[in-house]
Amino acid sequence: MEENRNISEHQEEQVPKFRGLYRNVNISVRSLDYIIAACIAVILVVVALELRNPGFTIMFDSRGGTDVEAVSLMYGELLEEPETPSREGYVFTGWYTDSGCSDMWDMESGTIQSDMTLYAGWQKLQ
Amino acid sequence: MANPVKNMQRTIAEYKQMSAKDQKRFLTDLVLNNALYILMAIFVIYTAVKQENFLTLGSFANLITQVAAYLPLALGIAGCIVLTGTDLSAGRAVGLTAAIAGVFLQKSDFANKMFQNLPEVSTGWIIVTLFAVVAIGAVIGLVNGFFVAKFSLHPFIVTLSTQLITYGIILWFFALNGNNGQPISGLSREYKDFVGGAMFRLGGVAVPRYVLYAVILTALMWFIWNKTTFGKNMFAVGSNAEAAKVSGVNVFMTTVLVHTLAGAMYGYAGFIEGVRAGSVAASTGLNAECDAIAACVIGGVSFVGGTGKISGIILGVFVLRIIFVALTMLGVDSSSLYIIKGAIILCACALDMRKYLVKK
Amino acid sequence: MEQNTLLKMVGITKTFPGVKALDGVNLEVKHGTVHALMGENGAGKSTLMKCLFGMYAKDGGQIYLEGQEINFKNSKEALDNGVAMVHQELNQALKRSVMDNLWLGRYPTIGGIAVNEKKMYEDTMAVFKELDIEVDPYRIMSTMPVSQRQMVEIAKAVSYNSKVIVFDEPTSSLTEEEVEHLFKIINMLRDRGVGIIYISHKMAEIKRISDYITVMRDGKWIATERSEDLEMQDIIRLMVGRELTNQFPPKTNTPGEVYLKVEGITGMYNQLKDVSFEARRGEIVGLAGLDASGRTETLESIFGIRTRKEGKITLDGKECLNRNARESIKNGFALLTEARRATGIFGVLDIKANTVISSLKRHKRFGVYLSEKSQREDTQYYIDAMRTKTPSQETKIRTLSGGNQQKVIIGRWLLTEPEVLLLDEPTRGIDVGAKYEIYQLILDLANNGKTVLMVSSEMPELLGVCDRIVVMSGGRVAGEVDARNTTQEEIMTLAAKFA
Repeated sequence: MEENRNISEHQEEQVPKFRGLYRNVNISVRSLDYIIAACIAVILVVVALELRNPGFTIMFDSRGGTDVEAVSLMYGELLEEPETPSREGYVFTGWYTDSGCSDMWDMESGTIQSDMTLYAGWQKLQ
Repeated sequence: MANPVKNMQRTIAEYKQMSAKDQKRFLTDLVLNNALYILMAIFVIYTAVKQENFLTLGSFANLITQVAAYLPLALGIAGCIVLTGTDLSAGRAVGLTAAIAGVFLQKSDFANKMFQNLPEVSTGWIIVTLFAVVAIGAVIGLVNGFFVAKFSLHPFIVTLSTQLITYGIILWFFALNGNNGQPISGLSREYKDFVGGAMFRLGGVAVPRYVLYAVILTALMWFIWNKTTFGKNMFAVGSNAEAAKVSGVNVFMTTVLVHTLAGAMYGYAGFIEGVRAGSVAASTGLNAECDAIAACVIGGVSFVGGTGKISGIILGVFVLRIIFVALTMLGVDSSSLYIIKGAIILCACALDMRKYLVKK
Repeated sequence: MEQNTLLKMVGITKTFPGVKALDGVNLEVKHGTVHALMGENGAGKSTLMKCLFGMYAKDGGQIYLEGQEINFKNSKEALDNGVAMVHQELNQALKRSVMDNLWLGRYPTIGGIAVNEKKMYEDTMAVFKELDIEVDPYRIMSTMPVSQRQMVEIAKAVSYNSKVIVFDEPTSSLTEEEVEHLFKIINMLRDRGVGIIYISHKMAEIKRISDYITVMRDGKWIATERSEDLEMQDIIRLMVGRELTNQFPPKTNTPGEVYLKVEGITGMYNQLKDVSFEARRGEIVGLAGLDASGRTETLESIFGIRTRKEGKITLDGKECLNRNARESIKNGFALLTEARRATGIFGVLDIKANTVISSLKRHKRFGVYLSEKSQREDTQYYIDAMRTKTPSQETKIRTLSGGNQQKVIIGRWLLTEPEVLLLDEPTRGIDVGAKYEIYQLILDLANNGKTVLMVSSEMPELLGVCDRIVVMSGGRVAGEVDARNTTQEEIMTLAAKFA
């Protein structure tokens, strides 16, 4: 209470005080300007670095089968069927987006949206 | 405010009357205050030049689909920010509710079905599940709200705790019935249709049903924020909790309700998240609150408390999504997107403070 | 330039977007004088001082200290050059000790590394002895009352060997006795040749302590006169720019039957002890007393935002529990708090939201929906009725002046249709012209049969507006006087009874 006792008679003239999460902030507009500029610069630099080597990496987890090399593709491209892995005693059933092997990746219409890993599906030979 | 054209004309007239020094200051202010929008414009233009399929109906459909997915979380968290707080538990709450919804609505003939004795998936059962996960989300929010309001703990501490606790529960949940932490997949066709079924196609890209749900939710939130006693009380508490108490506002109830409502939103977000991602893993929802908080701050829901508009939140989500869609199309991978997200949040906070400082 | 001029500010100009806050202001402070700076709120006194201390960059004009042109960039630089300010709002490290605060940023050291506690203690005692301050240098700031913390602030200014010391509303939280002590210190500093700038609203004080008076109005310099050449009425005229014949509106209300009864209120966590009094319909009852005498606590206990251990409140023979603000509002009470900015306004919200927040029930339709139209109507009604000066209903309340903010809050309370109004320092921080309007409002309320309890630190205000004055002292009721035939002396004697 005591801090609040001295109500200022010149509220309009006061530098506005930060409230809420900013209540302990004491910073000049100039410093803020630099922070904003720095943030924007960081974003642009990261994007520029990325654009030198754009694309998404598609990894193949053959889950016990022979290794399949990862490929790099651009957004919206179709994935070409990679070499089929082989595994003793199993038959390859296709590439799945989840390790539970319930959603098969559609090679005809599935366009690349981001980095991803595809999982090999196997069926045990009778 | 009412007439943007007239406003613009007046601003231009004022600008012409300024001295050279003031003109320079005015322009710097203009550029800095709109830094994120300018950044967005740069990315959009660059992407449009590089990728001919960026400015198409299809990618617009893609954009509104993404916005519809991220909006509910932002709408929920915005209330906490209006109360000068925040909510770090949002992402994990989404993860938990997504997992529960997923398990409830697995295909009955799916080999790895976690619970065999659940009823057959029907529309009725889907709606029961929806209410259940919304209720679970609301309970997480209720716990947050109770501790924030009753013990005046800072929301950072409270929601950090619930974030960890919720994650623990998620890990437990994934270990149930010998599941051993495997992702929950094999979601039933009915569930997928209910959430993600195509309403219509734009430029060959399907627009899922949850876009419609997001529109309904947004309208509901707008009503709650602007037209109810609860909404008015929320802004009053966020603006000055002491004064609100003296003015007869039930500060405790308001705080609890804001967090509970936010929690219900996370529950809904979890409900659609499973379908969106195809399956639910223990990491589902990780860091989802960061996107939501960033969108709110960009959209003018200030950490100062007591300010914010639904339209601002929508704008914020759009700006963030446009930037990310553009960057994705340029082939920027997700690890860099984290760095960019972090920088955007910092930048948005600095802008928020700057607006608050310069307003004088 | 005159020989004995210490500080000279010439043609200071400062513009904020849309406002000319200072327009060619002059101020000249001589060695060994007290120079009072007066003006209504927003007259530019604080802006002028902020230009002096470099908190604002001035747009035009020069500042000279002992003939040298100066241009401080921050208050630290000003302090190093012997220009100090005792702030109205104390910025102190509350969890640190008195001497830590005194020597903050310039601790005496041993070999430049370790802090020399012993020397610090001795130096502190030396300064305190000089100023006749009795404070333990090891005491933690937050455990001391505001008045003592202010003394520490003054000691700090003196310890820098300051040539110019600015006092900004130094007496607003001091008791009579402490004011005497402060004046003794000021007189001593004056005798030493220090130039003092004294900003205050209290006329009587200014007449007593100052040698020169400079009056500002609307960011302009109006006059500088020797203090003995100006009468109080002259100062008011200069400040307001018009003649104020009467400080108070004529009293027209007639108290009716007993309405509110307060019996034996004892506080749970505060000093209140067995506070009892009554108030009639249409009566204005003043609560007088020194700081910490329990006036504010009494109002807040009645309103239920402070916990009572014992006590009964009856309204028209019916007991009111008033366990929290909501219940009290329902029972017909309204409380205008003392700290307007801290517990009154919702700064970032607009006038409309600020007006309707306590009476949202009135606007509810179909159980949930709040009617925009009826909110607008209510807000407009009170903007007109109170003659609140605002561009629109959507204006953010923090951009209004103190007086207009107060009107909005009074409007907020009137919308709850209260029968008993508890007003805590209703005119604090409000300028002279607006004060009159607030007094008129209070009288109108009483004329409409409302019961008004009013706390004020300004004795003339209580004498001018109230019918009856309850004097409090040390948390107890020390006595009751009729406002029409009492004197300030009688009230002061009662106020000191249990202090």
